[in-house]
Amino acid sequence: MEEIAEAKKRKLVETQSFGFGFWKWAAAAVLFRLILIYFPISLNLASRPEVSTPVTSLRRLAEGYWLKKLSMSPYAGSMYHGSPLLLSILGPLTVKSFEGQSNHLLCRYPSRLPVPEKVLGVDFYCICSFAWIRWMMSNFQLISGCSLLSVVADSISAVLIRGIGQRLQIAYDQNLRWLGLAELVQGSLPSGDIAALVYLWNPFTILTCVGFNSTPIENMIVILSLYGACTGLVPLAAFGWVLASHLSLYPVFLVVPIVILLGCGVDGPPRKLFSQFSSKAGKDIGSDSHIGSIKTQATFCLLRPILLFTLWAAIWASYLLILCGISLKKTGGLLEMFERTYGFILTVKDLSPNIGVQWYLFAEVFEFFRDFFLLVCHANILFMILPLAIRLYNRPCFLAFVYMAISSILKSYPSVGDSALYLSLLALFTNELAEIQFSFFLFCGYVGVSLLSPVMHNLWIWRGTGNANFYFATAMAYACFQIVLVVESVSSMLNHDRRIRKLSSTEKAKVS
Amino acid sequence: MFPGKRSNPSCITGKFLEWLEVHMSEGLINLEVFGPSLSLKHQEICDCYKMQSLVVRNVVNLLSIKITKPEVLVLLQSIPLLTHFHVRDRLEILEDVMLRCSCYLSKLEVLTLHFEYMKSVAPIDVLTREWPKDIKKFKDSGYLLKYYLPYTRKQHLKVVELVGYQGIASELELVNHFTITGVCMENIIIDPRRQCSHDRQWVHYVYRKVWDIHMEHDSRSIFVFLILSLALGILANAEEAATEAAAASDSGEEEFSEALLLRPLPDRKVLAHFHFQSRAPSTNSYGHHHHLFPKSIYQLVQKFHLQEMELSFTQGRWNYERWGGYDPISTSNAKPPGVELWAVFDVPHHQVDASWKNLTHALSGLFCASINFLEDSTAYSSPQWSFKSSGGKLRYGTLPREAVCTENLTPWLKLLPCRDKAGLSTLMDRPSIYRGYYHSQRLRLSSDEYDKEISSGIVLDQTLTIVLQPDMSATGEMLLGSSTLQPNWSLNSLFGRKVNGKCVLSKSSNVYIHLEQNLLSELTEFGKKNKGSHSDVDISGSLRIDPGLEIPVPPSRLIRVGDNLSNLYEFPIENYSESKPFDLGFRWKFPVVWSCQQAPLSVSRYLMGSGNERGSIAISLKSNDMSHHLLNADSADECQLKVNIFQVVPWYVKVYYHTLQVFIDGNLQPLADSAEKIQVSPSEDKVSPGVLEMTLRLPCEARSAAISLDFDKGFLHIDEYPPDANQGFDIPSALVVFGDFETGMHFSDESLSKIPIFSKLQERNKLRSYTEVLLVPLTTPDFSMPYNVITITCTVFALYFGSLLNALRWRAGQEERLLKSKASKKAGPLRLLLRKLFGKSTGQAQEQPTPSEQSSSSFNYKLMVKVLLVAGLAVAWQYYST
Repeated sequence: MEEIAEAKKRKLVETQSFGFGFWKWAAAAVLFRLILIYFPISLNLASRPEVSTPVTSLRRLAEGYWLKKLSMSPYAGSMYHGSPLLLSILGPLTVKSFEGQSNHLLCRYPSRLPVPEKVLGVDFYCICSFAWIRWMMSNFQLISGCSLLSVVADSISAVLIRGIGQRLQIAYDQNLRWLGLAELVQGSLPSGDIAALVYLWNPFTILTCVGFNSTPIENMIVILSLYGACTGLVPLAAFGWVLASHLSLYPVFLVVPIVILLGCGVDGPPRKLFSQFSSKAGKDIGSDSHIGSIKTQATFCLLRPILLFTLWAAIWASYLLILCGISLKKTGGLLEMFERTYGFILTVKDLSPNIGVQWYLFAEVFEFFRDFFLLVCHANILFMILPLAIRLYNRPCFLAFVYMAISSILKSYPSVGDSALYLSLLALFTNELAEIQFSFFLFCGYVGVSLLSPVMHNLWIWRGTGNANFYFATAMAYACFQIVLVVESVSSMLNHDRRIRKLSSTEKAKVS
Repeated sequence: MFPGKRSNPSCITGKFLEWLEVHMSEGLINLEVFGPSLSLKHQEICDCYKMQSLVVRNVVNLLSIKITKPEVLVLLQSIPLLTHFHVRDRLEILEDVMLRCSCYLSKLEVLTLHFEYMKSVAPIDVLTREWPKDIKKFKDSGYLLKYYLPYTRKQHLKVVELVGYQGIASELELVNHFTITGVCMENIIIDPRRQCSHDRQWVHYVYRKVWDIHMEHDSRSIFVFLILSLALGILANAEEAATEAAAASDSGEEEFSEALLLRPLPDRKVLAHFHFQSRAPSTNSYGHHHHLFPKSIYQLVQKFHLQEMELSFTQGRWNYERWGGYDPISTSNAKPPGVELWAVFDVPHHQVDASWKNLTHALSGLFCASINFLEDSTAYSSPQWSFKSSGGKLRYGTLPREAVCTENLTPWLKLLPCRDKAGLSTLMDRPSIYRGYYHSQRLRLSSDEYDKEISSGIVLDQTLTIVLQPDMSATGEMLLGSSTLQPNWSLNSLFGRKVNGKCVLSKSSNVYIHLEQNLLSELTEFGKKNKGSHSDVDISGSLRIDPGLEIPVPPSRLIRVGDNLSNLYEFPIENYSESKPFDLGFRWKFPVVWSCQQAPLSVSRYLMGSGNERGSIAISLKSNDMSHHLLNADSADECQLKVNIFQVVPWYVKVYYHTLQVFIDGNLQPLADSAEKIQVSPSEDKVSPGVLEMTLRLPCEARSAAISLDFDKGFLHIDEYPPDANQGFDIPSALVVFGDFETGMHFSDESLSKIPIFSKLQERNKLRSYTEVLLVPLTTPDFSMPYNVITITCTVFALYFGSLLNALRWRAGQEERLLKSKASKKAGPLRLLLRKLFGKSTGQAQEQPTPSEQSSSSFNYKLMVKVLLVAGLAVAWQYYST
């Protein structure tokens, strides 16, 4: 405990010395979002393929809500493919109250400026300001619901990421000190703050937040489950995992890192090192109890939290299914929900262009190969789960990052919001991944692709001068950059572990 | 037995020979039988395989001829008493048949053509000037493909039997031919079975010379078989039919009537509206047999249990502003471009879709159109109430891009009893009618066959509505004062043809000229102004309706339309013939300007937005200042117009129905206030189209109204694009029905409603108008490179999988080795090259000692374990596999 306090103190000092006002920057980010929301630039972000996908688009959600209000199935008409719970939470927010009658709905940018009230010559300024306030209020009603919710979601995610980062930081510092590599700790950065700010200030996140879709909420739930796993809050972790998988299927892979996190604790160097180290030289450095606990962790994982997690997950899942069943009781029932949400994601029914690689493949591929390629695309994600879990066993948070990145590359309807999530998770490992290769190249690649992709989309869709291949080429380039990022980060993380092992062995040699 | 003779002479002149029978004669090659003095009565030539020709001429007494294997020339001439003619072939493959009966077979009773395995088209010419009185059997077996039965009116033909019916097109045509032309036809026996099984039996019978008995037996067996199987048999006993006809004489006979309505249009064009009605009494009272009613349509009704059906082929768009939007013709005959089909079925709900699919296929075969594309569930919809209330058994589909041409008109004309050979349909000169501005060919079918209580049978209305531009050059542009004279026209100048008398089968056959209310009032005003002495009939006998215009042929009567105050002039064409064809002229004396009666709101539809990602559809309704004064009978304080909108949108136009907005006079209205009723069935991707049905309530004083809907454009798989993908996709016309307005002429004379065209014009229908078809361009992928896309994408997958797995697999020891090898490689490219050239042994030798002792020992240990593992596996495999 002393050490934790000490570490905190040291970090505080470090932060201050760094001249780094986290809260200031976070507040600025939130303010920036609010400004963007209230003075919307007509970028039509809601319908950009990079920002909103058929699964996350709130415009489709509004259609589903409208159908539901007409006592039809929200999934009628292949428009809405999200969760029925999201529908009941976000649906009312998409309805614009229209002059007292709540009939018209729109979760879209205000199309017109307010018509000025008839000025009766009383007090022009007073009325003007009143009109402006009314306009602001109407604006607020118009867009606020969903957008404010995304802003809130984003800030909560940032705070949670900061929490995860601090946990990781403490673990990192401790681990290094126990291994006798305290000199490495000196230069370490506050990765939690950095990750949170990366999340908040990432243009991708900002676009997603302003762009009227449900991705910020889904990201928040994913981060929530990771936070719960990091802090050992089993029910929270189970809740987040169940909900995230329910909302967007792919976080279902996170069960592996969450279980490891719950069972074996947060990231650290390979546990073999500790056992070797403690067996030979542990008596001199650090307290025995810590080494002992690490040693037990190294040899086997705690079974109790895992069982608890299973129990909680089962509870939450059944609860969720019951809720969904109730909300869909009158229409299609759960079977229709699974078909329209998971089935839609897995069978790639919508071929509208996005930044992924699957839409064009399935638009062009011959009908009789379709099933085969569906299998290939999904197997590519599935086949990587086990090798990654074996190799990155000691780094569950990093494993979560890799899973999210992989699914963001290969998922059927990716958006930049997914990239925002994994990039902020990547930023949690600023210290470990300090020696990542090609970082500048990758940065340039991301910038280039995100500039080129809208241009190509515009050329193809709007001007008709380009070709589908142009846009697909940017999508391919984006996929390649993401792949390089994942591969490089994985290998540099492994190198980092290797380096620590080497250093600790030299240290060990020195000690002995 | 009759005296028989078996011989193989080439010429027979025996005067008293009565029965000639030649069997299995190898030597018989040519046989000629001639001479009026011969008393030969029966001739049978069977199985003479080397025979090449048979000529029978001028044999007066010959009663029956029977030939098998007639692949040779058979010439029959002047055999006046011949009653039985039997041709049969038993060979497996019959290549070529030359059979000519170019004679006066005036007494032929039994003609049996009996072939099997016909391979090619066999020209069988049975040339008779007049078909003989009693042909009892026309027997055919096998693939007999084509018959030439020219110039036969078959007035006396009573029984036709087709054995071995395959259902191929030529056979069908033959049957059709018989049904249409065989006026006295009593039985058509169609037997779909093959005669092969009977064959051997038959040969035996021949050898036993019990031919006559066998024929008796054979015919009976066919009869019994037909009754039992009813496979394709159409059987109607003459006596039964007679009694039934007597019993049901009050329910009416089949009827056919034709009419042509002509109307000058304000924009110097002429509307010609052909109307043909065929009516068949119900099956219960009348049976299955029809003289006039088209069999194919009757079978459609029978098979698919149709209650109502309407099929229209339209080219061009009806101009509601200029050609009128508020009269019966525009309401029921202005159709959306392309093909529109709707049908109401009298089957249980779960069978409606299946019936619809079959119906589309049948119609597509009947009318040579791609109506079968409507089979797909993405192409048709089932409107609930806005189109027509039908209790969910209505199916509606359109093909906006279907081109309409003569190939669709010809089958349509075939349904008429006189085709286009006689009657008003002779006017349908293809170049003239397709030159028009609007062309809509419609087929409307209504049947209450399945109302068991009162069944009035099937009514088939066929209309052809065309808008033609009279030839300006013929009359010359005559300028009178400031305005131009309307062009004069006649039937001949419009159609290039004249009417050569009526179709003899039609009950009534009239031409009408319709002058609208506005035109008439203009004309009378003009007459008043001129104050010229005007008599109804000129000195020359031609009619002068008004000083304004002149019709040379006097009409038989003038029909005043009650409330509309328009006039109809009737011209019967019964008295005209080929020598004295009917031609109706229409001459303008003075320029007249008038306008047609408009619908209360004029409807148009737009596509908004640019780009290929999204857009919106807007339907705008503009007031024509009519609604107020048309509806002033209602309570003045709350005058409201009801407008039904029915809109079908294909699935690739993904409509956001929540963006439905209603604007009245440019102001956004809450949906709840303006819409009385909305029903939406959203489109399902690749399954069903989206249907929007809504009833708007508009205040009468509203100048304009609009509804708008946003949509996203879908992206299709490359196979789903049509060949001309960049042309765009069509959104079918929306239908706007004005619920408060009904069209329908009102005649003071009640007897007029018996004439079919008037009964149609009298019908009270809700006013409706169709909007334009919209063309939506959709984004296209690159159609040329599926392989490239697949390979490139798979390369990316491989890059991901391979590199990530490689990064995971990489171990520290390997890396060190790699670093060292890199260091050694740094020695220089030349040395590296040399090393490569001289083999790797030196390099390996260099690298070998570098691993430390410890690692090499562990390496050995691992190697040992691996070897042991493999060996163990091999042993286990060996053990378990044996």
